[in-house]
Amino acid sequence: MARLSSAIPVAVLVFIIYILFTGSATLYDIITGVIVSVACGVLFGEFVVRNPSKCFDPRRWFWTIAYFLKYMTVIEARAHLDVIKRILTMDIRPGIVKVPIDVKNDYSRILVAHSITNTPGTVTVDMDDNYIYVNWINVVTEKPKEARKRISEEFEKFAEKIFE
Amino acid sequence: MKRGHIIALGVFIALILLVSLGITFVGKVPMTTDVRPLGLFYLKNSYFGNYAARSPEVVTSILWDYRGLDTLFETGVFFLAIISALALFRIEKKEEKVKEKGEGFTFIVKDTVRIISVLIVAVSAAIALHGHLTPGGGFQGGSALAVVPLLIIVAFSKYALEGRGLTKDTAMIVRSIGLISIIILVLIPLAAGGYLMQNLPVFPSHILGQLTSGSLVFYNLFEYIAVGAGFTAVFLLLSIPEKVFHKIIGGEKE
Amino acid sequence: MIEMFLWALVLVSLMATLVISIYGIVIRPSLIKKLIALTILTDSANLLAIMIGYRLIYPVIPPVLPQRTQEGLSKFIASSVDPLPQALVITAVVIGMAVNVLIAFAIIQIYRICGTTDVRKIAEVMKDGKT
Repeated sequence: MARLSSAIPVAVLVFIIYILFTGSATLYDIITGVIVSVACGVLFGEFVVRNPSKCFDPRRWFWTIAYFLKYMTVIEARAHLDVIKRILTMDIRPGIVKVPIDVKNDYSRILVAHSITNTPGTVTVDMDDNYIYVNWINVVTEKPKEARKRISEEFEKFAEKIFE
Repeated sequence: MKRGHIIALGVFIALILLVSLGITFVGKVPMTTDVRPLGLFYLKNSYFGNYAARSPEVVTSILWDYRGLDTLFETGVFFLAIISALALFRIEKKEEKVKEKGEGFTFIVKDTVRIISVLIVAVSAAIALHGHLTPGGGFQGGSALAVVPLLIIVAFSKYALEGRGLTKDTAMIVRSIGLISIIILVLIPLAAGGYLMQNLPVFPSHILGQLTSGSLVFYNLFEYIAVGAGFTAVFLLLSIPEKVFHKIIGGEKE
Repeated sequence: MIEMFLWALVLVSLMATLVISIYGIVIRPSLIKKLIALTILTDSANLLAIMIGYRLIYPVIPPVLPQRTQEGLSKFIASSVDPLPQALVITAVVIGMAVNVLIAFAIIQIYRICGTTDVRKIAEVMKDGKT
């Protein structure tokens, strides 16, 4: 039963990717897509999803979409503008800072780490149980609490709502 | 770089430029603006016409219909190359697990690989199963599929795959299933009164009203399985730790 | 004219790459470097085959029928590239990959037995019977 319920979200994900990659939705695409996605779900279900009940919670999906939209528009634009300004004026103070991280779930920590890497100006270097080590283009503070406020607080807020 | 190297490189580039200038002004550049007659035949007949494979993808219809026997024997060469690679790396004793040292990658790499490997399987299946409609096919899809075990070997370890049942032997079994299915597909037209590797009209060109181009979709599917599993077996062999071979061969120094 | 020059430049560069890779296969003593030169040789040969099938016209499209109608077919024939070299190259690429794997396995095994990949030293090791 656990195997089946963890297979469903994976199968849905694979089906969406299959149709998007094919770029058309004729009967042939849908039939082969269903076969491929069921096979992938059965084979990879437990490999990918550990707690399937979280996948069926609509609030988590709402927060995922909200986070995606906000990240792609507001956060990315802000970071890009900041880095462009720094490149033109060469006003940079690069360095690695230690940032505490509160979320415990693996996927939410990955979301935070990838979000930090994907915004220009900050790159995740390493991660242990309580801290992320971030290479930052403009080190204004070396205190972990304040660095967290500037770098990862927003990501963590969303990651908690999506995955915890 | 030494000074001599730079001079040699400069002379070489100058020579290439001079030769191409010479060809442009003195000789004749082989520029084709039309298709050769054989290519024209394939372009005309691939979908319409009396010798049609009923596939809009001309390259796939050449691969598995017009020049099908060539591709069949090339699959044989592929099979032999992988079999002989396996024979070179044969380990007769049961391989014992080498204890891993160190922590490996952080879970950022590992869990990202988990998600990406599923997506690669979806994309490679889409490449293989639409080989008769869009660019792609069994060879390309299978090569893309083989990236998944490679990623898992690098991010986790070889034993993560083998613990889940994907050993060298299962990969070879899956691969043999693909190859045997291809051979059966080759022989079906003989039983139906046609000739070897005939496509239409032995196989239906449409199934449930959807264009499947006769046998092309089946050949692509089984080639996808055979190529993917064959490369998986090779990668599993390549990732055997060197210590295991040290024990068996024993000749080489550290 | 400049079009012809660029086309000739690409062709001549490919020929030069072929010559360099043959030099690498023959002269270089390391087996690994011979293998690298061999992959360069097969890749440039494949590229040459693809370029022979190319048509220097505009617009030019890949050999996939865009619309499945008779008018679409005549337009397709007028602007599609030659499909035959592409069909030959796609198998050559995959077979080449498998054969390269076989050669790489053989080189690894030679290294394990002889402790070197230099062909001159391999000959010495074999003569002395030190394996």
